[in-house]
Amino acid sequence: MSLPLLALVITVDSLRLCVTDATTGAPLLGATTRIDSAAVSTQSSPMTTACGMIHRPAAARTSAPSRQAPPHDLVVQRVGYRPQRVAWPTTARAERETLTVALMPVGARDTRAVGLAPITVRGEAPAIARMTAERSAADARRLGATTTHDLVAQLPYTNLRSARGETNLSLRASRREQVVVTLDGLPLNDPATGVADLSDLPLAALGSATVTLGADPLGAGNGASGGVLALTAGAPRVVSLGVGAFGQRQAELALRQSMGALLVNSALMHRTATNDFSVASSVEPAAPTTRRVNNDETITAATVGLMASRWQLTGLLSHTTRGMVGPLNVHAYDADRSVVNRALLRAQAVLDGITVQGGLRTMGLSYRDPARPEWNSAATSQAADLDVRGTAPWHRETPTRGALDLTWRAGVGADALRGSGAIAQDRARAFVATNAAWHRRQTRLESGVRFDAITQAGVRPSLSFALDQQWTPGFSSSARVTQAFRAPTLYDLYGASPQRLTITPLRAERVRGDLELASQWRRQTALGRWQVDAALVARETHNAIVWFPGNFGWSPANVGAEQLRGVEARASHAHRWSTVSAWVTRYDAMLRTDALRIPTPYVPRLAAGGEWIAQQRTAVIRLGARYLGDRPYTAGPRDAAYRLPAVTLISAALSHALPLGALRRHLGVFDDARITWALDNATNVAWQSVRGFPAPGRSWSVRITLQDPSSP
Amino acid sequence: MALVFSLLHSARWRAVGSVAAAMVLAACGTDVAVDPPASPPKGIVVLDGYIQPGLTLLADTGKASSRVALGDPTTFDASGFTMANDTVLAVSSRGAGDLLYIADLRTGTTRKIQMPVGSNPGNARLLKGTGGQSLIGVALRDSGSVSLVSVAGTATATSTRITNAGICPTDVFQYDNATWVVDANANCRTTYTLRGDVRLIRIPNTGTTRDTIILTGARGSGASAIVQGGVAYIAAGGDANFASFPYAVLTSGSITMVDLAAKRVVRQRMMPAGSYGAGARWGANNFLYVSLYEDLSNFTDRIILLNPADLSIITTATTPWMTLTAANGDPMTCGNGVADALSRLHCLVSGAGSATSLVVFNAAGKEIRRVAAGQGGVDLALR
Repeated sequence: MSLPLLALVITVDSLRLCVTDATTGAPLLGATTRIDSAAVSTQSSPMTTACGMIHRPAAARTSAPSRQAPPHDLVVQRVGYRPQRVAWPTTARAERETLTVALMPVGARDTRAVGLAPITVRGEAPAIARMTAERSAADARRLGATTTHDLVAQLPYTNLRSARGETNLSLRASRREQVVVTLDGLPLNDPATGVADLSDLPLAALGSATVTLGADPLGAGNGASGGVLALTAGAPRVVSLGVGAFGQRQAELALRQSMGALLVNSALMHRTATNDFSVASSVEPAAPTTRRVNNDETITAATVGLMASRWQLTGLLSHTTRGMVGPLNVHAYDADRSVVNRALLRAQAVLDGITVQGGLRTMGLSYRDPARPEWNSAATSQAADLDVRGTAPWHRETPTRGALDLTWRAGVGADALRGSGAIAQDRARAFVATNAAWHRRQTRLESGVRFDAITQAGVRPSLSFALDQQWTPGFSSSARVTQAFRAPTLYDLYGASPQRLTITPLRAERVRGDLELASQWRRQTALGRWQVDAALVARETHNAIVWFPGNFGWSPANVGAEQLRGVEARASHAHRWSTVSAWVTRYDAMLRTDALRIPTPYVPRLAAGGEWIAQQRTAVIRLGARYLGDRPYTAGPRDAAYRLPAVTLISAALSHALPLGALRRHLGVFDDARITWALDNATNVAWQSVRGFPAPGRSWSVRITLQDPSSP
Repeated sequence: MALVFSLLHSARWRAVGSVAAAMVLAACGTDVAVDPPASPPKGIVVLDGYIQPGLTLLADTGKASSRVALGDPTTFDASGFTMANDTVLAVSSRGAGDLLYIADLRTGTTRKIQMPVGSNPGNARLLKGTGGQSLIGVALRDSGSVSLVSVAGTATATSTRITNAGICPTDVFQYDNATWVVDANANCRTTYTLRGDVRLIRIPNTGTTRDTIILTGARGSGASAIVQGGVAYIAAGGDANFASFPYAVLTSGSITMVDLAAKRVVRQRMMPAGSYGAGARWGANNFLYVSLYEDLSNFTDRIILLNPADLSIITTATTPWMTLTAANGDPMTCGNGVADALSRLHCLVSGAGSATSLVVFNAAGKEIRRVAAGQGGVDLALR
């Protein structure tokens, strides 16, 4: 009788802890742990990785729990997240397993990711599922990624577009400006264009990328009609050198150091490429092929992050120069150059349970035409954000009434744009939001509302409602309906300015309803881990803002209603050393205005992808495939003459650990060294993601990476 | 309005236009022949210039239409076209690849021919070819030259160049064994700022003596020509300051009438003060139809009807532009208009999403037909 009791109170002295974001599953670094007991309370330094070994302090060991004293509590906390308290494992078995703690962002929607690694321990009840996918930067690098573009391209459901080296994202059949991209919660979208460019974000500075499909009015607010790409900062220690086709050269360095109670991150990236690949020409009497010229780019970017237990500071500086290559067969821009400078500063602190977050962004674009300097131009856009968020537990869970949590958030902001041609646009923003989450047994219900007030866009309420039912331990269903809006961007306002044209004032684009009916099925068998996610989706957007030629140049206008109907699905199977996954989306996105029926440009009706990953002790192989159905490329009616043909792209990567031998001890923290070979567009398909701007054919890259061995 | 109506339905007045040159030059004014009974057009061709570049072909009645695709928006930016013998010519500027488009309306086929890189084509016109070849003149604005492109069947096109053809040649035509170039006289390589009045340059096919006719008062970087017999009507869009708000008209558009044989300006009509632009089309009823913006504040499309004999404005007493009313009686405006032989005005109206409608008005200016005509319509012609 006494033996079982003894087993219950045997407390392990160390364990492996992994900390993740409960909404996305993304790994979180910088968490601190505290061990509370009646006798002691000890706090650790911020974790330098998302996963790491933690040890009970000696003081805690001396106050070992007994039948009379409760076990120690392990409190995991990170700035921006609700602290979670879990019991310190009391079985020896725990020493061989990973304790995973999922932290819920403060004030964020209470949702959980689908399709992520199994979670051992959750601090809270299961949250409402979303169609989402995540990958860490370290994993992506091992699987062949060399840039942030590559990282996002490895994620399912993503539709990336690039014309002159920039990287823009479409999710759930949206236009580019209908996706919000955040870095540690701070939006990266340019207030001038509404579009976020990922191309200058160093992969070495990132911890992970998570795409979440569907409108997110409460968390991301303005512009998040199609979905959100959430990037987290904080990569493992990395030194990476790579070369590739078309003059690609890249060096990355990321360092992380714990300095007392402070965790310091820094990353530096420099990349150059000529991108002078050959493409076919379709004009007579030109040569059958022509080489892209003035398509080069040079990017230098640096990030720095400081994190303490109660505050966090992140900074990003980037400088990008590019040749402004023209569309295929257009040589008027063969000497034109652009310079983009970006600076970003984000601060976050926890004050008495309330999280305060502020951010400053500025982006400058300079365009130079040596042949016609009269056309030189420049523009600078800036944005400032400040928001506070907190949570107020309504009451504790009881068997009969369940539990109700209330979170709230409020913020203010301002955007500005100055540019050549007397462009001057300013606006102020403010919002307040609240979200109530109730759960009882296997049922969760959430409802929230957010009010945004934006200059020239008025006050915009957005509602959100979600229901989740866990039918069995491996099967759940959810229903979600939200509203969202997208205020005109500063360029929209400029283009529609009554100073230039007497037209109807531009109104905010309104998502009247974004509906998602989803189910998730997971099963662990002797044959491996199986997982299927599927969703039916629908979206109704009123007053869509689209640029059309007007009576004097192009200008934005609110045109008709945009309707989306679609299906999203993903399946995966993991067994021992092999993981195979596939996804598919089928969308019908149509803008209806008077007699016109206009499919949303660049949205394929059918898209699919898949990957197979095989991992042995020292080697990782990834084979990836992506299919994009034919895509209309104009804001005109569906017409076979104006669409990009369907394309299937094959990629492959091999990553192999290098035998370091005696060199290992000289490398210090970088004792995981590997070489990665990658082949993109292996079948050398001629294709374009943006009409007129051919993508490279078959291309290769090779990179040597020294990496922190404790990275997740 | 009644005056306009009666004028447009007068056989005598319709005949006036067709022999305008003779009347003006000879000033005889007698023995005017009566035209055969006017007939409706064989069809209407609308150029969709922006979103899905192509030609929308319509019949004189009904709603049916067909399309001829021209290219994608990155390599097509023409805002106008010329048509002869069911062959449509259009050009793309340097910003869209310096291309010549040739569309055969009978077969629905299109050819895309590379012009010299950076030459910035301004307009193309079918000239008289020889030996079974079609000859196309292309004004190359940034190289100050004219390209003469020979096309025979599906064979590879060949071309020759006429150099030193002005500062910024924007149009070209043939008359009396000579090539005539409309020179906008503007800095087309950079900002299109005007350097002086529009000029007409005569380049003989043989010999080296060139003649330059300065069209005093005619200004505009988008000058073009309409040739009827021995008379050329040179339309110049005017000059404006778009560098700051509010936009300011510096010089209104103009139509200049030139006696080609005498190589002299006969008459000039300035468009109303404050207006901008002057897109001229020759109606099948032998009148000139000029499209312009009423002002640079509201950019209201207007059409002015000119008597080609003396360039007088044919209008009601209150406004210089044609008064047009919708089917429900509401006043309406219209851009890019031209009349058929029945004096029915065909013009383009843009709606939500740049949906283009072809609207037809009777000679009294009352809407009698409205039909969808593609998207992003910028020019039209009657077959």
